[in-house]
Amino acid sequence: MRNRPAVIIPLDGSEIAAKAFGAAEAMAKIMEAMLYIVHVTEEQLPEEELLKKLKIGRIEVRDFSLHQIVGKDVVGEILRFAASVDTQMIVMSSHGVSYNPKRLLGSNTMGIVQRAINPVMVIRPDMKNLPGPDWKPQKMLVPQDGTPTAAAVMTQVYRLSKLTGADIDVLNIGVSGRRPPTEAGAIPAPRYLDHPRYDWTGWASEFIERFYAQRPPGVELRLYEREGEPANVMTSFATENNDDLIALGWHGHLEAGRAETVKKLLRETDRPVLLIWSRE
Amino acid sequence: MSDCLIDFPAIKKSPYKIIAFDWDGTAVENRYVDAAPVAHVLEELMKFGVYIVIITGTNFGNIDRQFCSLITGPHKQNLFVCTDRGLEVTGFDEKSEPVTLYKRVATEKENALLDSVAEAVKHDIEAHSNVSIDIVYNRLNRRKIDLIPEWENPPKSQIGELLEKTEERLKKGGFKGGIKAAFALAVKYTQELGLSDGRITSDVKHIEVGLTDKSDSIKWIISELSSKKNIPFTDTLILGDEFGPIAGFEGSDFRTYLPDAPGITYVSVGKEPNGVPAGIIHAGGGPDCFVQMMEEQVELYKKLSPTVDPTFLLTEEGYQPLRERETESLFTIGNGYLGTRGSLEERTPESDPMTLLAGLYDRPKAKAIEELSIVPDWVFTRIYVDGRELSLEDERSILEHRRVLDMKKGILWREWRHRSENGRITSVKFLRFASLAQPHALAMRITVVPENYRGEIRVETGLMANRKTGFTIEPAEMRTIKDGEGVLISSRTKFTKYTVAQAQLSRVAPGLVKQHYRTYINKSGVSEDWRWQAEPQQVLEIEKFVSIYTSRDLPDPVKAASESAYEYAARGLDALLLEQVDAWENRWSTAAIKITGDTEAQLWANFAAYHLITAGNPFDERVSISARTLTGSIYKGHIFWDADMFMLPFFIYTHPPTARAMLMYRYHTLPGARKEAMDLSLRGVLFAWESTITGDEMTPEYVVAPTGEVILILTGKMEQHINTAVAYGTWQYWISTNDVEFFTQAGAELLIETARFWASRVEKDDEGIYHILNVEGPDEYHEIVNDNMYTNLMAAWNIDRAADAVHYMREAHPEVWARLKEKIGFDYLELDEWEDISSHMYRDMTDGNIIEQFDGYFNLKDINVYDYEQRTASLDTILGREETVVSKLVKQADVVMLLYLLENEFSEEVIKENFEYYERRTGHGSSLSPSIYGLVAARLGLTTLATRYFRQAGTIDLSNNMGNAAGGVHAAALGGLWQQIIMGFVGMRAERDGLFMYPRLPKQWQRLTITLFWHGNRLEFDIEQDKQITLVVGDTGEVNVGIFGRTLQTLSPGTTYRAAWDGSTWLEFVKIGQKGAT
Repeated sequence: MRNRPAVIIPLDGSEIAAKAFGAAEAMAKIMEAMLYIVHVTEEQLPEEELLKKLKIGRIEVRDFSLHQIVGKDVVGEILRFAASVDTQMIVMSSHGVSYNPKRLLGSNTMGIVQRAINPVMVIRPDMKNLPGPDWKPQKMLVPQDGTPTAAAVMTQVYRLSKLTGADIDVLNIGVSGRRPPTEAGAIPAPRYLDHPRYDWTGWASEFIERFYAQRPPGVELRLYEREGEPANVMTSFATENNDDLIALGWHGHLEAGRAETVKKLLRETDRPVLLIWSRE
Repeated sequence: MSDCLIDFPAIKKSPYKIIAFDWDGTAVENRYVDAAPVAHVLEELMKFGVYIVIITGTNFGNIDRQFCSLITGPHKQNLFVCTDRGLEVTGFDEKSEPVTLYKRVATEKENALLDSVAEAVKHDIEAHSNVSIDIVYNRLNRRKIDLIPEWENPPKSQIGELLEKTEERLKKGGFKGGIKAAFALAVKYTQELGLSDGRITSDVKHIEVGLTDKSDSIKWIISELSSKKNIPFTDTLILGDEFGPIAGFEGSDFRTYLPDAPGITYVSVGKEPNGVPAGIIHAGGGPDCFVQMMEEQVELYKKLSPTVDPTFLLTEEGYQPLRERETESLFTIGNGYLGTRGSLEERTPESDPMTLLAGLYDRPKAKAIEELSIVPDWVFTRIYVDGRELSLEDERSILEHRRVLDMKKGILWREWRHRSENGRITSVKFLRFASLAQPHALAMRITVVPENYRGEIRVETGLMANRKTGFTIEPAEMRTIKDGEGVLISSRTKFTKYTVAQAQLSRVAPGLVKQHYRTYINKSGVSEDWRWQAEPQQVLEIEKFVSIYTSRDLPDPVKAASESAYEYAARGLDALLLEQVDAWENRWSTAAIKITGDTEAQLWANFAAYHLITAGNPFDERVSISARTLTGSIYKGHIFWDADMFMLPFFIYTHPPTARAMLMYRYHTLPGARKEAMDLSLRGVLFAWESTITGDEMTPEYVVAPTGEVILILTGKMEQHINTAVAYGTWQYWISTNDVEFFTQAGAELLIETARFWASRVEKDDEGIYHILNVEGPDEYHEIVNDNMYTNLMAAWNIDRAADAVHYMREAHPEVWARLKEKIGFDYLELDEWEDISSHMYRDMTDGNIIEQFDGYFNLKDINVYDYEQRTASLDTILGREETVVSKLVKQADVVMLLYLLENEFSEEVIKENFEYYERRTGHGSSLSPSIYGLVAARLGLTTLATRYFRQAGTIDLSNNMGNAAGGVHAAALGGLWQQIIMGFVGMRAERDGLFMYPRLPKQWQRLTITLFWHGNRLEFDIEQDKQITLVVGDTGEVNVGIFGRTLQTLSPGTTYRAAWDGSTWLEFVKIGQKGAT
């Protein structure tokens, strides 16, 4: 079972949770992965009844597997399951059965995005164009702040782009009111430009060069620089540039004062957000 | 004073890898003296990896008690003790415990034979005389026939007396043949009784019959060290005290001499009354000489090894692919003629190797602007083990990896331990440098050791053309140098038509490993290829010598490069390396700034000086230093005002020949500058804002943004203040060096012609006031302005200095002046015009003491940069271009630059108020800015603020806080950092008639020592925080030095002075005594 790549979609039986199903099917197709539909329940149901409960209708992918796990710890069970297979991605709706749009994420999604070490794609149920089974991102937006941590997400992004042929928009955002990253080896946008014609291009080529060496052939990489509040900029940039997906590196912390950009982005964007965890 | 009787130059130049010596009489007087001094020096050598081998006739216990027990640590594994005349060899394990490595065990039959021979000799002598003879049986595998038992342990120093007494004893007793006859008997009985390989020796007191002698110890060294480690014989030194004959017998150390191992150096420190055999150097001097030679070896190894002081080292531990290009920039080696980035020899996908030659410009296409061409990469090297290339790309293979830039010596060291998938561990070391002593010489040493396997190792090292970014010169010819040996690439720039020749010759030291050598030539370059079957722990060193010449240097660069490569190879890498170390030591003797109490600041200061030294070229006055020196290509190698205003002072005060060459570069580009002025219908000269070798303007007129937007670049046309930078640099050099030849031949013309430009550039209003309209000051956020105060006042200053130059030339050098006057068509009426312009130049003082940066600046939207302190991009990026232009945001020191350069024109109150006003409005959007603000803050006594700016300037490259160090180091920031220390914290001001200072050191700095050149004299300042300044004046002549705010004092040469801090101010200098007085 471990040898087969896996995409996991946790479902709780709500229509809201099932809104992510199309994206999960699409990812499974793209990755040629087994789609695991995982439901954690206190009471085992017959398969037919379960399918009805999960409200997923017709399943378009050929290779899928329905897993009913009896238990109370939904997040823990899903993560344990994810660890037992070769999980490439967990796809889930931002909310589930107790849908409250005022809350950033539903409790299960919140638990999974914080604890999963696998990439997690979060789908807002109120998105105008919910990804369907044939969805294939053509362009991906990857915000980068010049830190090695942010750069680390490129491995996953390249894998996806290699499978989909999606081009990549790398976006650096100049921010006022925020200190530049202090991580060793970080190259945020230059604070000083002696001669912009040289320094700017020098920085840009170095910025790109850091990702370029591992770039799969045929993938186009463009660097953009914008200024402003990061989540707003990402949201509007994705809209203006028709990016189908926003991929972000993060450390898995959603508590107060952490990952403010991730939180705001999850609230405001109408694009799928792929969160890629990396160690602090 | 030397303890040796003769000078032995090789000891100071040849780092021996094996040093083997006799103990008693050579290393120590006797076996009872304190061996701690000799242990100390030999231990130092072991720490450098030298194999120390003691060869003695005595047993291990004696040597262990006296010497070995004094040494502990991992280096003790490099110690070997060959005892009992070649019978036994003891080494030491990692716990410093003795381990028997070799032991000759006698058979019962051999032992019986030894007894028989000794006893036969004894009986023979006693049968034919009244002499009684003793036999010492309890010696391992040998017997000692004691000819004079009543004298126990005669010291070696009494050898003459011993000889006399022994002969007397034998002869008086009736054994007329004496010692020689006894020796002959031993030889005879050895043969007769069948001890086929018996060894007979004599130390006069004894005739010794044994199974081995000291030659067996040497054979062990050759077999176990020389051969297994592949150490050439030439790297072996053997010392003794008795090589020559004693009493007709060969000396006790003679058997250590092996004529069939050519290249070993033999030295005797003994008295050698009968001389030494051919091939042995007689140094004499006994153990004292021995210790002296070992100390000289230690000094030599210190020179050839990385510097210990961490403030002179940049170290990268492991391998950080993301930062690779940044590391390459910072770790660049160079010598002013060229710079080579610190790229990995074998390259990874992240590598951007680059060698840039000062002045080697070309155009990518016709009519494009010139940029530095990148020449083929000379460090290219790949290592293969059984056909598989060693690479850093798989991080699991990296057991250790370290790159160290030794800024003290200008050497890049690299150490790497690689483990392949099948567990084979290979240790690789690289050393490379660009010779500061010989600008065309480059050298590299590649050391490969298979730690735990035997297999085929292949090293391919060459000159490779292909690379990733930048503008590469294409090879025109690739071949071997001659007869299939060495390789050569000759390239040619497309439009500027320069020929560049690079010749490479590599050599392997003549060890015992057989290598196969061949050369390769392919599309991307040329290489030499070494291949050999390696045994575990066997060391192989390849020395690579590269010579680069261009047709800028001489007419036939190919010939010069080829011949030089052979010349360097003949001298050997150690010789070039020693020359390199000495050259750098010489430069640091005047460039070093020593800061006590702040190691971080010390590192920044060293880094700044290092990169400036590697960028300056005193030998070529057709080049100057570009914005990123020779460490990267993003500024295309263009030369800006940075060179004259920010970097030049470092050279003026630490290495005037380089400063002179930089100014002569400006002089040689006068035709281009004259044309620039003429194109604007103006007189005099206008130097190019971005300059190459021609002096033509190389600033692009526009760039196309990624969005397709065409952005005009106005700096080339508008930043005319570069003229004042050249003039300021010229004047500073002149007043600091008093270089009359330069001033009369070039300096005066530079001042006059730049002034003429301003005289024709100004516009006079109805009130007789002169203005400079449509100009751009250092603040590039406001591009076309009127009456930029920096430009106005610097132009007036330029004109005044030109007038000074005319008066000086006319009075002091009338003949030279007459020629210059005619050459430039000077009219004395110009002096009147200059006087009028200078005295009526528009000076804004409309808002109290605050100087308006340019006309209309005060009407712009105010800004406080501290409101934007936390940000992740430059302030103009955050604000946006349109908002920036209408705001008071200043890019870099503009008015504040003026407060520094023309300090005398403003009161302290004006300086303080303007500094505070502009400090809150300056975004420091340029790397040139923080150091100048820090400098003025330091002069104002705002030490905390000055220290903060100093940190900002010091970390621009080292923390990569510009985000673009990958494209090269920020040379102006480095020059600015130096100026902040000297002109700021030391408070140095250079005036026509003398030098002032007023130190205000950061709190953390307990002490600061610097050396400055003034009028050819060396001034050494030792500044102790809140205590005193000690000044040692060099021997060249009198100098005028004073405390700023007081009058100048005339100080005598060769004298020490001191100025005290009285708690509130510095007092005048007081004579302490002659140089060296404390």
